[in-house]
This record gives sequence, C-alpha cells and structure tokens, in this order.
Amino acid sequence: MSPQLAEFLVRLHGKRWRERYGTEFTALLVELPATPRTIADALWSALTSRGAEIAIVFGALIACLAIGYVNLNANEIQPPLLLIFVANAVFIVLRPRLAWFWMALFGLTVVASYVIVAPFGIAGVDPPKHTYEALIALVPSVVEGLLVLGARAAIIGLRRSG
Amino acid sequence: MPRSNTAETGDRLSESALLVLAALAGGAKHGYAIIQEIEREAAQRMGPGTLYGIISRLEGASLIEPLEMEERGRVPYRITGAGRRVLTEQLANLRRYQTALKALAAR
Repeated sequence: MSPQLAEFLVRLHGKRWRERYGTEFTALLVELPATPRTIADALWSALTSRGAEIAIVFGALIACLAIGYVNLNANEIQPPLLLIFVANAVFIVLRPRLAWFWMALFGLTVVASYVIVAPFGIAGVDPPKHTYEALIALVPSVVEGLLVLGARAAIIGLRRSG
Repeated sequence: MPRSNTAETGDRLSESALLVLAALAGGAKHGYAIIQEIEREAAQRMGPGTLYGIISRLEGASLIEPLEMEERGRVPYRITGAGRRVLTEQLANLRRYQTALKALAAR
C-alpha cells in the first residue's frame, strides 16, 4: 500500500501505541497490498488501541444519560447537580486537558434533556418556565470544574514539593 | 510457588498467538516475514493489525522480544526462553487433545 495510506492508518491508532509500534507497523503496511481486508484489519487495530478513549466516551455518554434522566424526574435541583459534580470531578481527573469540555458537556446536559424529550411530549417533573433557563446549570458546573482543577493542581504541587 | 508457563500470558494462548510464537521458534522475524511464514505453513492470511495485537500481548507477557530496528523501519522479534517453554507446553497440550479426540472417535 502507499506510504500515505499506511501513515494515515497508523495515525488513527492511540498515541501510546503509535509511539511503540508506529514505525514498524508503517513499514509492514507499506509491504502489504491495500486490500479491503487489510485496511479493515488495520482500522480494527486502531479502534482497539484506543480502548481507554472508547471507555471514556462511553462513560461520558452514560453520565449524560444519568444526569438527563435524574433531571427530568427530580423535584429538586440537588440530585442532577450532585451527578454533574461527580461526573465533572471524575472526568476532569481522568482527562484534565478536556476540563472545559467536560464542564460544558455536563452543564449543558440539563438543558439538552428538556430539548431532547420535548418532541415526545415529555416535559419532566419540574421543568423551567423557559427551556433556556436551564442553561443556569452551566454556572455550578463551571465553578465546580474550576475547583476540581484547582484542587488537582494543588495536589500535584504538594506531591512535587514533598 | 512456581507459576505455570501458560499463566505468563494471563490466559491460554489463542490459535493465532500460537502460530506467531511457532513462526518465531525457527528464528527471529519481522512482521512481514511472520505473515508470509504463517500463510505458507498454515494457509492463514493474518492481518497486520491482528499480528501487532498479538505481538503486543506476547511482548507484554515477555514471550517474545524486539531486536534492533532494521532498514525501512522493520523490527524483527525473537522468541524468549519463557516463550519457548509456553510453546512446548501448548504443543504437548494439543498432542494430548489430539490423542483424546482419536480415542473418543474410535469408540
């Protein structure tokens, strides 16, 4: 196969895998014909090399579904907020570089839950007067996210100094 | 307490992993040579991703090890002492299994 296609297939793999096997895997791919089976096999390898990323995406999806479900079925703001806090803390610790993304994602899940179920005639137990008012959930999500980031930085600083 | 050889892989070796280990038993080979050898001897076309998934697991279990990188980025692998022990054990298991199958089929 062409070096360009081989390099593209290697780039689809996870960073750690690429660093370890990237060069030799590229060399192997270049020697093989570019059959659909070979390409599919390399694509599957790329997918499995990203096992941790896939688990995180799947976990984030589950967290969003849980926040949305609890938000639609709770009378009070505390239960979905608690879930947002937990999800934020877990995912910021797992992937701190995506901290802003997690804060936005989990904060926006509240308003998204109303938007997604509205076409099915579901309003939730205690919906806001106007759907956009649910955007307020972004505030505690960002505040808590920043606190988690701060705590994380403090812990890292303490470990380095200790 | 000594661990069994197969415990070094964390599990029993898959058929494909056994093929790779057997292909390396005759001497160090890089990925393309392993694929060719398996295709020639076992009539199985192993995909590059499948091969490197196996290489990664076998290397993680210290059953094979990489050698110096050759020209064009090729890296040959060789079987380790532990790998040879696992291969011998697996082949003995297969022979026992074959004998048992023959005995059962002959009844």
